[in-house]
Amino acid sequence: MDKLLSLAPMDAIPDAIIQLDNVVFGWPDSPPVLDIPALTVAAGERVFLKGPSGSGKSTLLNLIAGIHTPQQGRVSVLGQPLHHHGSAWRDNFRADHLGLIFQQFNLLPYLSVLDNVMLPCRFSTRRKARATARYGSLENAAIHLLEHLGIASDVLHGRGVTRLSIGQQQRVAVARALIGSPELVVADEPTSALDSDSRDGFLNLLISECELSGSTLVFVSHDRSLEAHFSQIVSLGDINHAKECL
Amino acid sequence: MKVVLMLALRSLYNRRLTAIMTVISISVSVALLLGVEKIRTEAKSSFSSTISGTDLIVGARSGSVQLLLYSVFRIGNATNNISWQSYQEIASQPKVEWTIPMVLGDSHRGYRVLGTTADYFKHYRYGRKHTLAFRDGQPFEALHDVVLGAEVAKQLNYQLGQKVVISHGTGTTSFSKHEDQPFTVVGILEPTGTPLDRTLHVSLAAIEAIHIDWQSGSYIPGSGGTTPVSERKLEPKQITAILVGLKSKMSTFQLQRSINNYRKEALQAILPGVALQELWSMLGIVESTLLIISGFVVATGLFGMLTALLTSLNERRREMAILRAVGARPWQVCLLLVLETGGLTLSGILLSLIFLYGGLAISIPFIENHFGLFLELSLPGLYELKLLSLVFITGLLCGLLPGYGAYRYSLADGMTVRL
Repeated sequence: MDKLLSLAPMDAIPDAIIQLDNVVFGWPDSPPVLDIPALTVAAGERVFLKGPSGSGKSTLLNLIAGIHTPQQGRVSVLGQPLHHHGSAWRDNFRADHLGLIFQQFNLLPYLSVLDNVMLPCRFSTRRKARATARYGSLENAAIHLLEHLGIASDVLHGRGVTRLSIGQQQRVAVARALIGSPELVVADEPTSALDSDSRDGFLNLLISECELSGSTLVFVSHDRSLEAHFSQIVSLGDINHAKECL
Repeated sequence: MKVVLMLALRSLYNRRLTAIMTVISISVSVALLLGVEKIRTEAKSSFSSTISGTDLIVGARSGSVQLLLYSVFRIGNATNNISWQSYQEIASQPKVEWTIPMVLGDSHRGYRVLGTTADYFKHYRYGRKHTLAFRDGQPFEALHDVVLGAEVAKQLNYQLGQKVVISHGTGTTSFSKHEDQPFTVVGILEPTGTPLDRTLHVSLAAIEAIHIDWQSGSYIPGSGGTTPVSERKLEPKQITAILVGLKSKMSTFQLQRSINNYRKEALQAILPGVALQELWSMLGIVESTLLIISGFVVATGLFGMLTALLTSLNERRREMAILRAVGARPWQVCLLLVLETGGLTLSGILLSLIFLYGGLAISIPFIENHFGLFLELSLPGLYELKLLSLVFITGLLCGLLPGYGAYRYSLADGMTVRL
């Protein structure tokens, strides 16, 4: 853990935040879904990962998050080769360094908005320490983030998260992914449930908040109209050689 | 751990309607288990405390359970009687402190009439050596005095001074009544929770008196002679059973043996405690059946909880995925469900205690009145606590099943469940 903490300042990592070398992954008794010779994401990058549905985007995310391990090859995140460690270590690693935003239904309906945002810090002492170091307390951190994301304070003290609009829910999810400034934020088609007007606004907020907290962003989508917001564009179809083997 | 507990509570609160229904179904089944257990133990203790302080029961030779049934429980009839002479011989033994002669055979509107002596009210003990107490009046003195058991007085609504006619034989509706000699109620006993409550007590002499003109079971007026009742020596020729109290318990077996070997008559002496045990063991099947049934009811309650949780599990895959995404470990997801079942079971158990004691408090007077069973509002004993912890542990183990399901889902789904 100490070794990881020493990696924390972003400028101290000269090389990649995500690195895949000759990764092959498939489900038992079926041909590989993914065969990626190389993929590198540098620190501070804003990556747009595109590909049609069923092309293995989710599987790739699960590999990066350390939920699945590849049959061959190597996945390194923050310079740590994930397969060198057990699943408990990877769980801790994920809790400490990864923020995640889903397509929709990101929030637990039985928690308040603030509790939803603070949830990652309850599972990661590192993120809790970071959030409190920066804002004094977890609540302050959450409120600060939510204000930045345009969630008015009267919404915070409103009843449940289920009363929020989808756009508001997604912004709360962004606040949750960013609390405690994880090094890597992965957003899995977070805009697909939003209408096109709020889509750009949401993206701008997401990107500026990631920059503020110094997090690298990996954004998965099949909506090419969003490409313009990103510094690196990765087409899964181009880097994945698995289909060609079929 | 603390987070998971918080999440479990919040999640349960969010699904409070199903949670409350589950808790209620568990609590009702557990309350039933405890209630059956309570009635079982209380019935047993009430049963075995029907008679106490009596060292030997003597009757004509038959079976010990039969003798116990007709002498103490007023069930069935004696096959044979004891001669008055034998009774006097037993009563005069130096080891004997007191004797209560009993004559059974007549009845009043289905309630047995017991002919005995005033010693009955002095020496008879039930429960933890309780003596008989009078709610109203006093023991019989005059020839045609009768003392009623509590239930007889209550059910038939009899007061002191009321006239009572005794029927010949033991049927509920008897056509042959001792109408020529009505009795007067002089005493009503306090309830005892024993068959004594359903008994009418008269003197031995009274039993003799009402049978004066009876020959071979039928009433022939004048057949017993013309001497007025008040001038006759009313001494029974035969009695049904004898309760014997000894000066020292040490001589119990000795006297029992000598009565069993009595030459002039086929007699039998039994130890009440042993015979009660024997009788209860015959009822043991009912007892264990009750326990098994209530065990199944609890199992049904837990199965209900398990079903509710397993059903909701699929709907909650997203919840699990979110938890995984924010850093929950798979074991924490599993723990979440185990805590849920644990919480549900625990609340069910606590609620069941409220149900049980509330229910008992309400129903104790009813049970006392209708079944003559005295229940005590006592704290759960060691056995009950064992039962409750067994239920709790089973509930926790039940949680492992959906918990394991959630664990597997959260491993396989990762963070990418889409709805």
